[in-house]
Amino acid sequence: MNAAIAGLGMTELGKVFGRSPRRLAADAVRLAAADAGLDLADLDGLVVSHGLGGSPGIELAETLGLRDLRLLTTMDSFGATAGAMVSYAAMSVLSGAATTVACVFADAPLQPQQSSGAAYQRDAREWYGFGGMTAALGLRSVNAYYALAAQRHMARYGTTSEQLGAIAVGTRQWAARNPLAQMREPITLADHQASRWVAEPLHLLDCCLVSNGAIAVIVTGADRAASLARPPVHLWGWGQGHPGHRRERGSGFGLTTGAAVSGPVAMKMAGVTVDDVDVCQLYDCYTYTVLVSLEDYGFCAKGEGGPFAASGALAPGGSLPTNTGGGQLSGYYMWGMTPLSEAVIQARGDGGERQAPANDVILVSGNGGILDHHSTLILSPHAKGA
Amino acid sequence: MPLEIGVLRRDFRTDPFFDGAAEDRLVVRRCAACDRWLAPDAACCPGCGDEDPGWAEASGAGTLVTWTTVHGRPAADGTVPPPALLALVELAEGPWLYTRLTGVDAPREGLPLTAVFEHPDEGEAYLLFRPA
Repeated sequence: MNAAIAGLGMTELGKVFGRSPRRLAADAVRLAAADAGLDLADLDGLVVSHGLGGSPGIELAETLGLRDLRLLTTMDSFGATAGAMVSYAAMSVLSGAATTVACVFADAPLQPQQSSGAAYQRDAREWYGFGGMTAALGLRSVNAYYALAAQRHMARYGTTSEQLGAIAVGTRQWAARNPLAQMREPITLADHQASRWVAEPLHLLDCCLVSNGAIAVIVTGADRAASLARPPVHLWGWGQGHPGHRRERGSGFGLTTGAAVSGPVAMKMAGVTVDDVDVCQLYDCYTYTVLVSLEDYGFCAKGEGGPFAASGALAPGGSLPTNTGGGQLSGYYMWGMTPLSEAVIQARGDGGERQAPANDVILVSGNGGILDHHSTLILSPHAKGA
Repeated sequence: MPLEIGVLRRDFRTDPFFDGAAEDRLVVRRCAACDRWLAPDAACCPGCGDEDPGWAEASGAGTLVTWTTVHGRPAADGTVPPPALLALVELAEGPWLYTRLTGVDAPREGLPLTAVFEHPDEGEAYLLFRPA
């Protein structure tokens, strides 16, 4: 037996106010079940991942009125969680521990009248301890940590801001074709270069959006999925990579990510190589994250992510359609559920104007922490081994 | 001129660092059992798991690993806070510190640096790195 994704539920995404993360999570699960043609009572498993804006935990089962579950837990590897949840749900289905598992992420960090950056930034007048000193001196946001990583890649391999900009521009071209995307106005490389610095070498247009909302998927056996409402999205492979880069001499921080491990594991399980991948949905909290992930998966050699991105391969019409929904840079920021949801849409052929020309093998990545955690899924509209 | 960073207080977990900073000495974690130097805010020694490894005085010498100039968000009145040149510095003893640079015009990988301490009127002294 193999496992498949049978349902996808997405709430309104973006500046969605007035609904708690728990309510949003519940709504997404209901939508996913309905999408699959299932009743909530058909679910016997629930896996929950929360973001920053308040936690839906396992009490979500009570919110949904779910009873007699065989599987109920939270999972957390930050942006890698979506892939980890789906693989855990798939293994539960394959082992017989559960038959029909909902995996959900919800977050609502945005407040009305507040900037996106403020949702992820710390400000204070007094600071405490060594860590407080670092924050006091200016290291207060995730942006700065990723900027340090990107700068190290640039210094080592000659990667340029214009190459990162090519990712931002191409991703926006995809977003323009996606009615679900928050940012759909075309941008040029000049716009990217002129956008304000956030943390050099990252411009504003190198950084993802912040969104409120929730997304859920339903994982079940492939045979069962085939009898449900929507075409199954088959799970061919999965993997994780947690490099454990230490803050000391010899660290690969900024140069390599967990994708170097999770990619080969997932592709081996799926029986594919990078040459077989038709579409990539890569975790793009920053343009740089896409670039370094492409290298670590082996779509290009280490250090050549910049020229590869600048070649136009990732944009509409390119050889490796990537982040076809606009990703997190231009689409919506639902952590690992952003790439996963677009992968499901592409596998079903529901991409409309943005449907990739081939969708037989789709690679989905998740990235969590400061490049600390990585997950990979290989999805396909075709049954595994068929 | 001191930076406008707010007031820095101790947290009871990294006090030996601030004792050293008050005397212009760089004091970091060091696990004697593993002969391993660690950052002052290391949660534990990755060699043996000791959650309270000891402290020792480092040389203050280091090299630049990577850097970023962070630009604050423009305020409602359009004013922009001054940018900060932040960095990861590798101490000669091995550990990396997140820190801020002063007097560095042309950052590059491997740039030799040395620790310096600022002593504001209120609150604890703080650590910066300048070219060696």
